[in-house]
Amino acid sequence: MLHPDQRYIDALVNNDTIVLHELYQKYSGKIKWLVLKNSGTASDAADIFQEALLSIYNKAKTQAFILTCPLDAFLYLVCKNKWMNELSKRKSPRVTIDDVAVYNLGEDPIKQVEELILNEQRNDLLNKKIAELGENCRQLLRLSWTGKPMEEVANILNVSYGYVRKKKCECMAKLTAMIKQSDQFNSLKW
Amino acid sequence: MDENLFEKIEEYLNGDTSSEEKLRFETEMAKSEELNLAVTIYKRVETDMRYKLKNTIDESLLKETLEGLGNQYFQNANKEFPFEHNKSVQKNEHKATTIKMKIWVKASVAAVFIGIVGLGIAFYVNSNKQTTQLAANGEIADTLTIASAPDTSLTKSDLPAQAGKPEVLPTGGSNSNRLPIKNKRKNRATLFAENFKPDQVPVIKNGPLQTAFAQYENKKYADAIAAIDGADVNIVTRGEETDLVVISFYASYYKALSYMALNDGEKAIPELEKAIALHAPGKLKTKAYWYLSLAFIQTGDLIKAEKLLKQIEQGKTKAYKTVASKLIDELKDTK
Repeated sequence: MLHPDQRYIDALVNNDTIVLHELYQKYSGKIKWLVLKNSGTASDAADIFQEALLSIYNKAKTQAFILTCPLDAFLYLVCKNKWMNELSKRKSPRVTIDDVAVYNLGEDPIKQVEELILNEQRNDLLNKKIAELGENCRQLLRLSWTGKPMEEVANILNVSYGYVRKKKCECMAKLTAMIKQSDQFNSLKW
Repeated sequence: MDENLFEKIEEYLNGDTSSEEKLRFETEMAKSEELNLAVTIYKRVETDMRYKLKNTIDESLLKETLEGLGNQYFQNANKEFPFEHNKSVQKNEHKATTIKMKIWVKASVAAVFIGIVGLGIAFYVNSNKQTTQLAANGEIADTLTIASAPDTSLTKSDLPAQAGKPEVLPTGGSNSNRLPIKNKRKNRATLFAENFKPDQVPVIKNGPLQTAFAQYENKKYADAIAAIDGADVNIVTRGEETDLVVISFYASYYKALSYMALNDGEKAIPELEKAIALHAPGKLKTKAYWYLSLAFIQTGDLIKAEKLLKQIEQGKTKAYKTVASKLIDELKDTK
């Protein structure tokens, strides 16, 4: 049976402002307090909260995302993870978190949160490496990812179909190599 | 890993292999950890990037909603504790953060005030310059003076590539690492192709346009146009569909998008202008403006496209402001 809080996930997917208002009203306070208590500002808290919701949204849009615990607990865990990452990025001397709430979560939600965070880190790495590719590769790959048939991509770029196919593989080989050579690669569990 | 292997991966993932080749490839994958990893990464990159490109506007619209809510709930809620436990510790920290926040709030109020004054001046100056009147909601032009103003200038991009700069185009068997320099016309086509993604159909599809939406979703655009032409948009059903303005808007809007998908920007333009003239809710109208600017790019009218994009950039729908600014920059390189 679906958790009643699943409606908040649906609200994110459908950009339902009324339900999202309710979500902020109910859960923003705790996250704000978590961040403020751990070297952050209200503005940091707003960013972390928004990022967490966007991660959940992206997960829900790409895969069936079933909430197996109250959103309150899930969101808290996601935000806590994100804020710890942010603190270590800022090289803050304090990277342990003073919890403002303790939840007894089962194994599933913890795994879900870990997967969510990993997914996002993989995406960050991917975007970083795409940005490092040459403009020609970026343009070709971007066009192929729009879902257009390769014949059309070839037509747009004014090159032959065979060339576009070959070039795409070349670019993907380059991108894959760059991803694999990155420091973060092994920790991201591809 | 060589590129040939990536060609095999691409063929395998696209289902372009015979059942024999598929089996052989899967056996190889089972034996080679490296190949298995390459396929996993390839698949993930393709899936994630396809999703990302398809979902840019929806995600930006959600981000915009969340930003608004964030401003509302995170800037003001500092004075209250979210819950009761550990109150003594919280009290001391609360004092400190409240003082910090007071300064912060003052700074924010000052910044907002300066912003409003600045915008007011910019708006005043701008409104005197342009013939276009901004809509009452402050979003973008209601009247289509810019969009439909006669354009007597021929843009450089309408001309073929300059003589004296011959292009050597690689063939399918070429080993060249460089893509050829594109001519101006192709640049515009690329711009259009990169930015035009047929919008998703509305969440609630019931009503007179139901069949058209189904055809549109299946990318049967000619059938979608025929279904829209045959639909009685005055049928009153339930919920959102009772709003005749919205239904009429959708009829013109999705018809235009279908024309654009069929590479017929000329027919899309009047449909989008009709949709805009219906005064549909803000975000819908902004969407229509966005696609109208793309239709102008598709038909080669870059001046009108740029004018519209600038209006979107000055509007208040952040999602489209960002993409419009990006496209304006790209248009500059196209000319």
